Amino acid sequence: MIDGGLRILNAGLPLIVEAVPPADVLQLDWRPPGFGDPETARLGLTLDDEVTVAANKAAIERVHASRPLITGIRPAREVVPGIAEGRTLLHAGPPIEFARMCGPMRGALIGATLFEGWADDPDAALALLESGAITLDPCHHHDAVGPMAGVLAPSMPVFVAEESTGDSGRRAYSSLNEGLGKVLRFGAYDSEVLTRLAWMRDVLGPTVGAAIEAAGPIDTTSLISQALAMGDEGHNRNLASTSLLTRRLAPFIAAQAEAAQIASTLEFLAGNDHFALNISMAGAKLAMDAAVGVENSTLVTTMARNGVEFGLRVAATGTEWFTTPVGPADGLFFPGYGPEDANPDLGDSAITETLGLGGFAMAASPAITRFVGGTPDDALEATRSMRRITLAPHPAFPLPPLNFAGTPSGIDLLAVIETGELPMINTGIAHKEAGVGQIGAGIVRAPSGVFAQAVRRVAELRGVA
Amino acid sequence: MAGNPSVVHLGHSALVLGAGRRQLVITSDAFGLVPGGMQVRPPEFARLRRDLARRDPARGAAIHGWRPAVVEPADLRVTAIDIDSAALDLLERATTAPGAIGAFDPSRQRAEASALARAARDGADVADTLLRLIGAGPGSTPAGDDVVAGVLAGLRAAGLSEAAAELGARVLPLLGRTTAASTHYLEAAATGRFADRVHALVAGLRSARSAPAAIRAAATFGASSGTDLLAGIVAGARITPAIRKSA
Amino acid sequence: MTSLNSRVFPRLYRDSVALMAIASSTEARDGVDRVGAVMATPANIAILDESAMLPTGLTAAPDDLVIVVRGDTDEIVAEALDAAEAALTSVESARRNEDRPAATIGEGIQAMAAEDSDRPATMAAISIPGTYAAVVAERALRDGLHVFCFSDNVPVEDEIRVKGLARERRLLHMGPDCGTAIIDGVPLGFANVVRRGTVGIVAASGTGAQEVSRLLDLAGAGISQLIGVGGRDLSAEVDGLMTDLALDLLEDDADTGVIAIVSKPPAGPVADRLLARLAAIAQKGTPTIACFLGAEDTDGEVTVRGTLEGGAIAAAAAAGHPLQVDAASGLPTTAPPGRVLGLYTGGTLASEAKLLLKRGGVTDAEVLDLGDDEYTAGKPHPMIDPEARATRIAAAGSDAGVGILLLDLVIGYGASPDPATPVVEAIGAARAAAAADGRELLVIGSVCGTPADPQGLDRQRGLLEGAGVVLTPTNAAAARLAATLHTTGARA
Repeated sequence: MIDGGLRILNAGLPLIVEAVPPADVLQLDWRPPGFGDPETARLGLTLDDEVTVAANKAAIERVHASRPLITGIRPAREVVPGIAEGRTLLHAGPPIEFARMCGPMRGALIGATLFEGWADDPDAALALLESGAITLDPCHHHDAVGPMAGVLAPSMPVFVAEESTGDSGRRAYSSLNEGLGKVLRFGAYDSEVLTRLAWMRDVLGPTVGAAIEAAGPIDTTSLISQALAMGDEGHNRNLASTSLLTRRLAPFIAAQAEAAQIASTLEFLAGNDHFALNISMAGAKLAMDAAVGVENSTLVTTMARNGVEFGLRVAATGTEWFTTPVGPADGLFFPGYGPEDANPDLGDSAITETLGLGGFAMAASPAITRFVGGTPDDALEATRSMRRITLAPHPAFPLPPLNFAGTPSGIDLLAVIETGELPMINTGIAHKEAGVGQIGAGIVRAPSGVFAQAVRRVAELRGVA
Repeated sequence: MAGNPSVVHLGHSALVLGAGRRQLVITSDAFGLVPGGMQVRPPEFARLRRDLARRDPARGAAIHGWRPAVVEPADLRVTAIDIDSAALDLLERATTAPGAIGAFDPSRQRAEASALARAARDGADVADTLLRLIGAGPGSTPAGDDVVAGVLAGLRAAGLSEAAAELGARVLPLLGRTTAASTHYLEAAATGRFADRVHALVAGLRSARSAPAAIRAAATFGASSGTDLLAGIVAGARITPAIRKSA
Repeated sequence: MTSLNSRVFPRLYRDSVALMAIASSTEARDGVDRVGAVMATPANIAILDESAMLPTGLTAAPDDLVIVVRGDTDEIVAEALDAAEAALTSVESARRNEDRPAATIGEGIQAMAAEDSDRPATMAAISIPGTYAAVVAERALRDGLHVFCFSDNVPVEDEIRVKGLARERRLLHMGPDCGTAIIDGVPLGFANVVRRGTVGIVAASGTGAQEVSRLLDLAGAGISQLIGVGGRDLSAEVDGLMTDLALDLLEDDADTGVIAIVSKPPAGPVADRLLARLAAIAQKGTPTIACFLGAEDTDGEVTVRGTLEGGAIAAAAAAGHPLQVDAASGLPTTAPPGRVLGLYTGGTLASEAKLLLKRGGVTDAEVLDLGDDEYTAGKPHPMIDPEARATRIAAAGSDAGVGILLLDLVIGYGASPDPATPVVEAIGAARAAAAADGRELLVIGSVCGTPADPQGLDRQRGLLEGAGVVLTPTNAAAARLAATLHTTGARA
């Protein structure tokens, strides 16, 4: 009666199939789908049809075809849409009112306010921010991304990423990385921070920008791909990409006029292991933006956190955010710090995981387990488990330890719903008080709530709810 | 392949299927194409390897429903090139490093390379030398075979295709003295066809700048295969009557 | 004094780096002088010989790997060879199984296909909480798998939807709440090992199907297929969606010569339609039996029987293997006073008993289906775990109002490995309690099982008989006997 004989997948009690020859039974490691909510599971199943499959194929093709080029560095006010209007500051993660923001973000905004000269001292800056006189908006709404607090002010230099394939004219921007310790993105705003920001605006930005223009645009895909073969994962370990970048630009930096500028720039680059992170982020932002608005596609286009909430966006629902409160990452803490000191997850840098780097590419970076915890085997397992929820390996990012398989890329909302496997993000952990800085690193899972919300919304749009 | 192929070997870089004495060697982009082989993208390679590894040996290696995305035939013949003398020196130095492996030291086989190449050029009797080399030495493709293959490649690169063809003809009857895997490569080498990675070594002859890359690549082939091949290539290439002095 | 030995590994390839590592680590062992790990080509044999490393009588071909060890003593050499061999095999197994266990239907399908692309998955067996069962079943059906759904508490709308989908794809959806099936000779869920034969059964009841099928085995008739459709398939809402498909499949099945439906009576319009369908099938030459528990026995185009026993007898006869149900000798003719207490693990068996007791004029019988939700909440089913029923059996001895105990004993796949023993022990306790009170207890029962069942039919019967249980050939006969003895028993 059964063509091909009885070959059984068993979900549930082994007892039920005990009469079947064991070679013909595969016991599934079954978990409730939909994070335990049958309604969510049902919606996910209903949406899984040819329309969605075709839309996802189109969406991921656009993402994988993207070839971002960093063409230069410019002051944000010149290039970032909307930032020059009135008094505007951008921040990481989904939208949030100043009153609800976490310590590091508030600190960063104070610092940015001072940097722009809109207030003379921190108290005045705070008052200004509380009054609503400054417009606050997510970087993501302005084609930009920023790590940690991710605060972007009009005077700050930004990398300009341009799409080199097709004629879309699309762009993405990210700040320049300040380095570790007392820095704006962890909420510090003292004179050391402001001085450095000024130097970045006046020296680093123009110098590196001129070097890029002389050297030729930087192909971020190629840069990150090489770095993956050298132990980076593109989010929390950026030493190789930063070194490759520095090596590439150094002759052109050295060929510029001012000796003092050359020296300080090179010294800065030599000391900042994560400088290339912001380039990786800009490239990932540009690639993922290619899919925003693809009708009916359940591809995740954004994962971002503002230190209070985790935000998700999906291709089919365009710029709509799905948010849920988020907690701190768990991982390894620097001496003297522990989970009680940790700020909830923060930053736009999860855009790298959204593309398939960072936690998804952990197999390429076994050494990162020394910072986020676990063993090198866990790093391999992390990448393998992310295959369950992604649409396709990214052809441009092969991972040598997995026989050069492309990194799992393109999170499918429906796969997350069905498997219950949540995206894994490698992240730094910030101290919850403004200005203290990074206190550790770890792995955080995107919260299930945002996926449940998203699937309901997509089902509504498709008319199948 | 006709009939029911069996799995001969599933390696990290090559999947060897056999049917009778014939072999199909499937490699990934990372390894390069080999004669009588098929090169596939790494994800396909990984999947094939996994599928074949899980197979019940009694069921053979028949794979259903696999269509390679694109089939591009490739010409794997080594042809004459301009050989740079400085490059040749660099490569030669790299092959004299000792490589003892237990009771078997491939230096012994490498040492025979020059004599073999000269004999081939002169049309002299190579029988004894070949008997000492074919199947001899460590490795699943024995070191002596790599040396012979290298000499054949070197002679062709030097433009001595007739000498190479003659030497090849002498090699063929002796193939029963070595492993099936090695036979596959030697048979191809005898008719002037070599794996991508051998081509990569031959390319090192072109200039002093390309030689170091070839030396580094050679170090990554198996335990001593690369250096054994290189020793043969150098010996064959030295025979050319017209070596260009580097500028 | 040195020892030399070798080991040949026919047609074994290992990459040369691994071989080199194995050779050097073996050579580094205490007391080991030299190690050779090479392919056994004529040239290498010659080299081994030159280096005094060639053991006498070595036979190997060029494609064989040979490891030769020279060391101080035979023992050292043997251990070194063992170590080298272990290292050789572990090189390969270290790379095995990189994949995590499949968790979803989709992953399971891929995993099975990877294992053997010629034999992909064909069915999903589901026994997860009912709230999720329909989602998983739908996924399986969409992926082209038949479904065996043991889970219950599935909302009826879900059942209708998945069965509609199954019908479209001409795939079986057995369930929800399907405890028993035998497909292509393979028992699923709670099922007995029944010989293959010509009777195709469509069953909306678990133990009903078990009793009918085991009686067909007893008759020598056997079954072709036993398709469970779940307890609610013949309700008004579901309207026999899966029964219809099952009948289609059985009609097309070359091995099926008789078709029987086993169910409690379907809802009115459903029953009419079903009987009409069965009549149409019968007209084409395949005898059909409708075993609707409690129905009036009628003979027409469709043979209708109201007991499981009756249904089995009719089906066996139609299959040309009449069932001989011998009137057993040595049956008791009296019973202690008191009511009949039925303690059943099989729902349909309990229903059959209830029905026959009533027909037999017994008005105060208490028949419990201990597998029912009301008794099992939070606890395993009594067929899986006999404890709950054992307690009640033992307690019956202390109940002065009980004179006759009626039991079923279901064996086969799914049931516990030795259902009889706890029952026997409990009966012993019950009798002791009754005796202490100056009373007796009559225990009547039947064993639902076949000679090929894993628990051993004869042994299970023997244990029960040894405890003084009166065993009848069928469940119906046990109930009839209880009814007869009860009404003739003197009342206190």
